[in-house]
Amino acid sequence: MNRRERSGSTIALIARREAARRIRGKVFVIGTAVTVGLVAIYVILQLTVLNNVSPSTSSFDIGVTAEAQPLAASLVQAGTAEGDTFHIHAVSDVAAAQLEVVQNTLDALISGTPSAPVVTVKTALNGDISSALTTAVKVEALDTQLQRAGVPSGPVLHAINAANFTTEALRPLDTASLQAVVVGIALALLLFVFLSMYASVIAQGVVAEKASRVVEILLATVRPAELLLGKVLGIGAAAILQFAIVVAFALAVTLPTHVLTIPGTAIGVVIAGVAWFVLGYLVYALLLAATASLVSRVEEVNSAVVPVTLLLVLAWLLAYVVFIPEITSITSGMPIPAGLSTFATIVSLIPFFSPTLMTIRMASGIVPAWQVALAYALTAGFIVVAASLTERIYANSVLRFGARVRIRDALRRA
Amino acid sequence: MSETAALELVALNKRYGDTVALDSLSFSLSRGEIFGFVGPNGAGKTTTMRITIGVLAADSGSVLWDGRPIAFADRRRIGYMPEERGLYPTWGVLEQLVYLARLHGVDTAQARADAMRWLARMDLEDRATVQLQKLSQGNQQRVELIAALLHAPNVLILDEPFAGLDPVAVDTMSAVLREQAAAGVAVLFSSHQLEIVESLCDRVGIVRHGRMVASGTVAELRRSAGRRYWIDIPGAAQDWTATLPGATVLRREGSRWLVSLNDGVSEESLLEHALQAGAVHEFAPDAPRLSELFRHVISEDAAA
Repeated sequence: MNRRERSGSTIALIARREAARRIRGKVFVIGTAVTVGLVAIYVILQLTVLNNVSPSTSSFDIGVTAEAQPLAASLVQAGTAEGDTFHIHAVSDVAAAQLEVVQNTLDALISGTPSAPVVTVKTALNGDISSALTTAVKVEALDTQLQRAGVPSGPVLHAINAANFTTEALRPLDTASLQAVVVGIALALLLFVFLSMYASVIAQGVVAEKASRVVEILLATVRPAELLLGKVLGIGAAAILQFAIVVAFALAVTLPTHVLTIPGTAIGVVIAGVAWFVLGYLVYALLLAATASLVSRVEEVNSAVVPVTLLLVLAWLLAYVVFIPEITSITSGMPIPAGLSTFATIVSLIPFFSPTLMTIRMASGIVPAWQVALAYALTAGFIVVAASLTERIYANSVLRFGARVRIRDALRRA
Repeated sequence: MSETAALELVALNKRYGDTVALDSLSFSLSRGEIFGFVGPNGAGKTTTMRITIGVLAADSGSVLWDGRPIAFADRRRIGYMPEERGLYPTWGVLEQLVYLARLHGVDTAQARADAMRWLARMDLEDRATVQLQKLSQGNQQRVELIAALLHAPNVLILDEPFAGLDPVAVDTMSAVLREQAAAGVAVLFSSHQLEIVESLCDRVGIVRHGRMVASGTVAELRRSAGRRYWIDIPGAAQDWTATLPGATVLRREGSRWLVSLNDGVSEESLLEHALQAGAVHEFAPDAPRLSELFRHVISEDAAA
């Protein structure tokens, strides 16, 4: 076996061991359970509470007392004109009907006289019911006056109910884009959470080997670069597997329940998000392995990696700067201010921030292809440079026990 | 030396900043030989071993393996036990032994079988699946020894393998090292326990300030200390040796005197002189212990 082949099998052996230990470990099992749980809670919330706040089906159950009964026909008619369906339930026991309102079996209870009715609702009156009822009350009042004046009310009422207008939106809400951006934000958040989680796994793994001194035994038979690469790839395989499980679960529960109707673009966003996760993982794993190898004790690792974790937090905070204007732009139809747009373009091309920012910007569909290509190229180039620097830092510092190794000493050529 | 040395260290130099860790240190190690490496703390023993194993680079000098510069593949044939012990505390005993053997190129089945055999030998077969950190210090050290042996190395380099072991464990460790040497393995170990070094080693090297100040078999080292005699003469005058040129009193314990002789002075003339000084109750040649030689060599070097 030549040196390259042997090196490859050594890296594979180390990577398999690292991956196997992570997949059996607590972070993987608990992390997957918690993330999957959060996705499930989100879907349940979407299906219950959020749907009630803004219902997609405009169908209402209305309780009407005998006294208010004359309003019922006008209400149904007014509703039909607006595209709503009103189911009228005759009410004899007001207290029982109020209970039904509280229990959501009735959307509203109408009592009192037709000219001054009382509407009883649970929390607030739905806009559709309100507008239909307003029309019904006014029609009813007009009908009463016409009858009193001896004018046949039929043609007048018919004309009132038939009168309508159509809306012409100059900048209609693009729900498909909005959904793609929501998918992008969710992916970027997931990316941030996973990178943070596995960042600490990498850092702890490097320092644990140093703290237990097992690294000296390992490096008696394995090159530092092989150990480093095996560790980064092995933990990365576990990270990507977990990321894929969570994304697959999210898609599996959101698609059939129609919480999310993924258009073609959103599938592309998911694929791009996974690609950015792989690149983002490599960027941060290398930086963390390098900084963590400078210290010798597990207690020191968190302070050692602060510069890198700050970059990661910044990568998430900057995501707000990008996605809030984009959401606003889609919902309002107004273009993103030029300064903000330039800023977003620049920061999303920086390799530390590209994984989260490009996932979101690609989701919105307004990022030019050359920027995406440039971001991929810059990040890949950065990974190559970071890998060679990390290898040097790691090799120079992983066997220096005791005080924290200064970065300048660690960068010195051996 | 008729046979090529298995491992040869030639004029190793190493500095840490202004501190000289190794100063042109050289020695060699033959197959089947047990070499004891002694010297005060900070003398350069660990640095030498770490350079040999390849985890540290020397500033100059070379490490030869069968007469040629050592390669990375050769280093995989070394069994190493570092001074600061360490395996994976949270891994199972057998799990990490197999993993480490595999990193040395041993296949899984072989590694597993050999690990179980060694664990049985060390009375640890029932702890195979236990986390390493649940084992006592001595048992952890046994596991570390197994880790160094599992890939059937040609050379064993053990940094302080006896430190912290109870007498039974010392016996086990000694027996294993003797066996390995008998099987043709070159064994290098460092120790502060000079009695163990004396009883176990074919050759001993004493290092100080990064230099090999004395090396050879225990017998050779003893001879180099000169001819010494314990003489018991109750009532002898304080300065009874003053009239014998070439005789020096090293120590006096009551009526017992420890006298060393220069090359030109015969044993007979010393005895004759002693008989004139009084009634001689004892006249015995003294074989210095290694510990004494050690102090002697170290202090001599300091005086120089």
